Amino acid sequence: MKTALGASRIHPYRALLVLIGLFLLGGGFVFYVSSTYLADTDRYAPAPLGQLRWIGLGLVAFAAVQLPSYRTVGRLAWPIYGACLVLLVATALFGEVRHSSRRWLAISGSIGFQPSELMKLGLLLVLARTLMYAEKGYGWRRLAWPCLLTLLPVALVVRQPDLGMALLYLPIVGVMVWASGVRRRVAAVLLAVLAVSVAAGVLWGLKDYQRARIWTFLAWDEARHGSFDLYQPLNARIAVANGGLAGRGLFEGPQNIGGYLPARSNDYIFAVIAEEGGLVACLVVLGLFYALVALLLCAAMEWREPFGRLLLVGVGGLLGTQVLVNTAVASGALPTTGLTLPLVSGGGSSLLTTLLLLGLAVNVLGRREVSMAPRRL
Amino acid sequence: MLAKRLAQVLVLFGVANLLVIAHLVRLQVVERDAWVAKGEDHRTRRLFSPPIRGSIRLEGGAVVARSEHRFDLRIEPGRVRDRWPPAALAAALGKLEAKQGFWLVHGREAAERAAARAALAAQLETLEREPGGVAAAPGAGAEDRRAELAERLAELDRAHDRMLEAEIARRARHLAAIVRDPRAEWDRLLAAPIFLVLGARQSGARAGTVAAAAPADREECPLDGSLAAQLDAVLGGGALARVQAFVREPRDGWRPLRAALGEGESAALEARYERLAGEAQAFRALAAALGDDLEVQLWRQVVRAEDGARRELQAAAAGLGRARTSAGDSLWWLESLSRLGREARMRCRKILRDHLGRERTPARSVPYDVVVELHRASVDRRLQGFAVQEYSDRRWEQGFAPHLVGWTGEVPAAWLEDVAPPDPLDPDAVLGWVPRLQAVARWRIEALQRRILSQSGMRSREEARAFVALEEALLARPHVGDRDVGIEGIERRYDERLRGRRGILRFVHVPGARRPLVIHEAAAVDGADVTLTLDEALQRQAEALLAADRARRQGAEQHVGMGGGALVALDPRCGAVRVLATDPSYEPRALREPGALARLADRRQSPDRPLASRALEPALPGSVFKIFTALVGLEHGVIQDEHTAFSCWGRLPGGPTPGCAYAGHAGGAASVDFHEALCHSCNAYFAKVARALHERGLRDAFDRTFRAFHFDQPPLWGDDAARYAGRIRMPASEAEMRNMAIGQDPVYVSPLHLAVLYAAVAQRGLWRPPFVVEQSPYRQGAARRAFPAAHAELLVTGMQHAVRRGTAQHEGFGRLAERGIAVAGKTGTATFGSRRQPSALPRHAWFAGFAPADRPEIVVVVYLEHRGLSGGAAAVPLAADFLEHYFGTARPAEGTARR
Repeated sequence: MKTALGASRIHPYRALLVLIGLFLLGGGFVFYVSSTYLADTDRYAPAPLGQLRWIGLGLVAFAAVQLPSYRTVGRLAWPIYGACLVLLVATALFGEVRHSSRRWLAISGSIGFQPSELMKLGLLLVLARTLMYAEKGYGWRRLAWPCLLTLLPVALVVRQPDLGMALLYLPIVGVMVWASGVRRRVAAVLLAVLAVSVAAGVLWGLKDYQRARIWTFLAWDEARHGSFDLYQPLNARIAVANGGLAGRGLFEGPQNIGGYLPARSNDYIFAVIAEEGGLVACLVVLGLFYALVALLLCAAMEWREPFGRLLLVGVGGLLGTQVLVNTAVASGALPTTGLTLPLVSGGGSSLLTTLLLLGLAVNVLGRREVSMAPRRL
Repeated sequence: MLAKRLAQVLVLFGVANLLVIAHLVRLQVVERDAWVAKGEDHRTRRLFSPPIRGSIRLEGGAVVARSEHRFDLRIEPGRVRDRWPPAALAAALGKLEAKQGFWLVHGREAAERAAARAALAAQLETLEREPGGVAAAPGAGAEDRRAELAERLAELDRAHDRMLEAEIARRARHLAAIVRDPRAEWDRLLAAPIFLVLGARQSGARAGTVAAAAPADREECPLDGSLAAQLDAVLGGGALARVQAFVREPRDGWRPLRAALGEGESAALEARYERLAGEAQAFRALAAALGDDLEVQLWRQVVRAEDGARRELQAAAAGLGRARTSAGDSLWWLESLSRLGREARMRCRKILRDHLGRERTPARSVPYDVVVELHRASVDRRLQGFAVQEYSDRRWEQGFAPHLVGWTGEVPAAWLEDVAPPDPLDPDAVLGWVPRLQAVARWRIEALQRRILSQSGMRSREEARAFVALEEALLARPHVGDRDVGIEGIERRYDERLRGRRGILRFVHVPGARRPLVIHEAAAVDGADVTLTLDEALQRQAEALLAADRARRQGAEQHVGMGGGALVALDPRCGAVRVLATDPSYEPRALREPGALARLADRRQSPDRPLASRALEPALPGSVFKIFTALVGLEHGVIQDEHTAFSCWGRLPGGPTPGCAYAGHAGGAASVDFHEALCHSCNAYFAKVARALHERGLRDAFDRTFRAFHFDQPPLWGDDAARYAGRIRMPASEAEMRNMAIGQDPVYVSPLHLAVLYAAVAQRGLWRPPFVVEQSPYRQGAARRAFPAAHAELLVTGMQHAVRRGTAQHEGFGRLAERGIAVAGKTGTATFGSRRQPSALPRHAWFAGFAPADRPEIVVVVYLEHRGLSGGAAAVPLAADFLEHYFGTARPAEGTARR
């Protein structure tokens, strides 16, 4: 593919990124279909067609993001962030309540959108923008803006409440700040402050059901808590164990087909993969995601232009964190949070955002003009 | 440097990924079997059927306690689906009807009538097949007989119809009440259609109008005329007819509408109708299964009762038309119907959730087949929200020996600790739970799907058998939710025998399968009966005597508001307890009322302790214990024969204990021999026996003999109503030993065990354990010689003296003596405090004895707690009454024959 300037070399990671992404998307859709099957009605609900529509939309967005240069997008960072913030506020005011939290903005009827997903993109862009001019070994003064920009959406999302998402924002910022060359001592202090405030939040700031989830999980006392609080992690663990090495086979997982897995097509899709594809499929999925993250971070290592580099780091950090948290939750190693598995889980907002982010990363790698400088390593 | 930082991040992600992978490996490889087993267990559903608890009977066959099987149909409103699948409900109801629906609606009476009708019809048929075949009526008589039978048959049918009509009218009134106040009556509303359908179908089947339950035929088969009329009358003028008419032919309503509204608007409305009709169709199918029109009517009323819905409906009706033409009216109905199709039911469900709490139990006593059918349908997710609770309900014969029989109740939590099934993840558990079960299933049922059993961990048949044994043992033990587990008395002591074994139905959801797969099914085994040795008439007589005495006592001035009594009678020849009466008594069933147990157990609220089983409870015996002292004295040679004498000055030497009560000894020093001492219950004599024992260094003499007579054992060997039959301690001083010798302070014995001691005397030294249940292991217990017959003879003579001329004289005994029945007995009066420190507590009154003295067949012990009178004054008349009753009514011939 030739760029606008007619530069010859296509970044070798670029094709790999797209290939891995498409593979995950396709394979994920197969398991998504499996996860919507209901044995007792012999029907797929919700119909997989809807997800196909989202995938189509996501791919279009992916393609559309390639058109302008990422730096053009970067120039729009502040407006995008602002729009996302407005959407979040709107959600807090007029959002639709599902599963007792106000996370969705109704588009039409039952189709809703989760602005907190889109906020990932906004936050990433604006952080890359503010940190791109940071000189190596910078200190507190430069961190003021990034911190403020992060805390605003975090506060809004915590209020929804969507703790998982809010906690997801923090590692992104952490990785980006770290990669942009913050002073070590500052980073250490920041980490300590973060740890203390998270611990304090867990102790005092959480809602009862959230705290109950955590305590129940830590105690893992099935007899005492019945199967109510432990229902999700317990069933997830059973599903994962059911898979064994090679898995039960597609459409054959008893926990999946019998409807015992909660939110199996979204948050717990990894448990479905584990049950029906076994350890092998799990390793493939984790390996592919790790490869994706590694590609992004490796590309960032040799990228000279700071905005693009920070974008790559941000996307890589985001994907890596989200995959880790989601797989840990879906295999019952962490208490339940509402995070999706990127590219694989059903649900429009998450898929769209992930594809947009990947598109942006691919866009970065497609622009040869700024990576002409010799390799750093 | 930045690249280095990124590499660090990458490594961090890698390590975290490895942790997740380690977790996966642990689950999928290392601990896989355990988790899979847990999963199977998790997906396995169990339905237990409790056994019927065995009865407690008397020898004659009379039942003291019995259990009835009950099934409650529960509705969990939160889980009731928006659309009850009509087919599933109809199937369950059809089964109900086919089996015992009649029973459900009309109960025992109807069943009996049906049986009578069948018998009559059979007779009539016989008569018609062979005229003159009826034995009693030859010739023309046969005709009359046939007419009579036919008339009786017709009368039965008429009675049946009357009953049905009354039942239906009653239900209709009930429904009307629901319509008036839907919120309060929601649970009954849910139950009502089921009953009504049954009622209508029963009635229809008899009248021959309702042909089939298929929804398609339903419109052609309206409700039975009389029923519809009744309902109409109850529900208000013409309402039912209007709904019926509309449901039957909705399109008729359009003609006047077109005329009134014009073509365009009418077409729009018709299109709207088409859409609504689709929804209404579904609801009509439901209504068809549930007693069609009435159901519609009910739902509509409910919707109207809801404010919001009413406003919506009114707005809809107002928006419809300029004029409320009949067509507009029809459309309004249609609107209501369509709303019922979706919104109203959603709304109603919400009301159910908000206002009703979690569960309701509208139907009771559902037959077992239907239970299983409903339960399967519910598990199948065809019929969600319905559940069946099955239990065995205990009933006790009014007030018969409740202290002995005891009562049942729900399993106390503490009992359950060792009952929980073994944890499948626990490697130390005897056997895993579910995978092994599946192997059992494979072992038993060949046709099981391989997919379920692929994970089975069972290796051999021996293991399978061991599992079955374990499972059966677990099924035989109490379980959470069992309402009928013995808590007290015989119910507790023989609980294992009475309870039986639960039945179990286990099934698993198989991926892809429409119905759950049954993997294990075992029927319940009912409990065995227990037979009491008590004599019903004697027991009732004893209870009446005690109650009468309590009434007399309550009339007396010095009554302190406490105390009761006990009367124990046993057959010394075998040890069977004939009477074990305790007063005051209680009603076991009443204990199930909340708070009743606490109230009765509270000394402040119930000072006379109605729950205490006085016949089994150790109490201060007083002089009846002197028999024991005498036996110890004889054993150690302190008393050698009837001539062994001690002097009595009318008071005890050197001690605070009360002196000799006998006036004859009060005058001064008298030499009292053994028989004289027993006859007048001379305290000084037995105190001196104790002193002599003490002087010989035999301080533990009482204690040893006490043990030899098993006073240190629980009464009836295992009934832990009281922990011991008696209590004694090593005397601290000679004075205390003297006190013990006359049955005072550190000695306590239970009336039952005292009777056992007296029975040994009556049997001339042969001691037997008592038993109150025929199935008791002590039933065949061999007699053991406890003391020489010569000692017993001495005692019997002394006790006969007491009855003839001593403390236990009574005219009743005299009358018995005239009939040749000599009574041997000993009175007792237990006092509290001492001369220096008198206690406010009134005295206990005792009598213990047996008759006839030469060939004893009944031992009787009377104990009146805090009676305030001496044994001779209070207990002896009671014992005399009882013995007179025993020999007078129970054995009138024997007593005289012996003479």
